[in-house]
Amino acid sequence: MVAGGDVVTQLRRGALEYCVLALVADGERYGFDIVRSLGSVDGMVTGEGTLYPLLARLKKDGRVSTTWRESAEGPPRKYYAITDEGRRALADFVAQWSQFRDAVDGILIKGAP
Amino acid sequence: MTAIKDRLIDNYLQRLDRAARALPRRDRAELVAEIRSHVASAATVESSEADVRNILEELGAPEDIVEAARPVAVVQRRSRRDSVAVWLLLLGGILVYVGWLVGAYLLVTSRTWTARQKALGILVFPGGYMGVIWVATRFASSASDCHAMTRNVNGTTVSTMCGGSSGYGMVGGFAAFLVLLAVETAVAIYLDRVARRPPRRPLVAAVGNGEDL
Repeated sequence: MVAGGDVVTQLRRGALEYCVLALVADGERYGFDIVRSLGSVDGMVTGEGTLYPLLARLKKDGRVSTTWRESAEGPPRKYYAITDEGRRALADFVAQWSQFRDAVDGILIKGAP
Repeated sequence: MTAIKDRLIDNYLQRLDRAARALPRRDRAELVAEIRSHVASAATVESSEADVRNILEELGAPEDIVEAARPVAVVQRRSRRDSVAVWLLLLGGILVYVGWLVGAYLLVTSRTWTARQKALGILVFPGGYMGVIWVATRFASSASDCHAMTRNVNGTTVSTMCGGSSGYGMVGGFAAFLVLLAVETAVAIYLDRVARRPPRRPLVAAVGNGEDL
C-alpha cells in the first residue's frame, strides 16, 4: 500500500511538468490559471503552491519562456509560453508515455501476454 | 474583516519569504512574487475570511513550497549509507581499526562513486586519521627510537639515519602529520561532495521505450 502510493507519487512528479507543457502548448497562460487547471484534476496536485517551483524549473530548462504583464484586476501576472525545446520535450514524452501506458495496461488489465 | 484577510495573506507571504531564505536571492524574490500574484488572482474583494483561508490552505505550507523549489539532491535525501562510509573512512580507524574496513566495504559497494574515486578513498589513506597518526608517529619517533631499533635487530649492523638532530625529526614529523591530515580531510570532503551531487537519472529515461516490457 505504502510502496504503491510512493510509485504513484513518483509517476505524478515525473508527468506533472509535461502536463504543464501540454497546458501551455496552445497558447500562453499565467501561473494562477495553470495551477488552477491542474488543481481541478483529482489526484494531480497536492499543494498548489509547489507548482510554482516546477514552473520556475521549466523556465530554467528553457522549456517555457515567461513575461510579466500588468493585470487590470491586481498585481502583474507572469505568463508562461512554450518554447521550441519545450515542444520537442513534450512530443517526446507523449510518444514514450503512451507506449509505456499501453505496455503496463496490457499486463495489468489483460493479464500476462 | 478586510484587515483580518490582509493580515492572513501578509503572514503567509512573510512565512514564505522567511522559509525561502534557503534559495538563491533571485529565485526567492520570483517565488514570493508569483505566490503574491496567485493570492491576488484567487481572492477578490468579495472573498470572505474563510475563502482566503481556503486559498492559502490549497497553496500548501510555505515550507513545502520552498522544499519543492530546492535542488533535487536536497529533496531526495542522500543515502545515509554513503555518509556513514565517508565517516568510517575518516574516523573508523580511531574507534577500532575494523571501523575503517567497514567504511571501505561500504565505499566499494556503493553505486555513488566511480572506481577511481573509490580507489582514492581507499588509498588516501588506509586507516583514515588513524593511519595518518600512525605514519606521523613512526616518522617522528624514528629519530628517538633508533636505539631501541638497533637493539631489537640484534647482531646485524643496521645503519640508521638517527642520532643527528631529533628536533628536526620532530618538526618534520609534525609537518608531515599536518599535510597528511589535510590531504585525508580533503579526500573525505571530496567524496562527500560527490555523494551530495544530484543524481542525473530522470524518470522518463527510466520509463524506457516499452519494448522491454
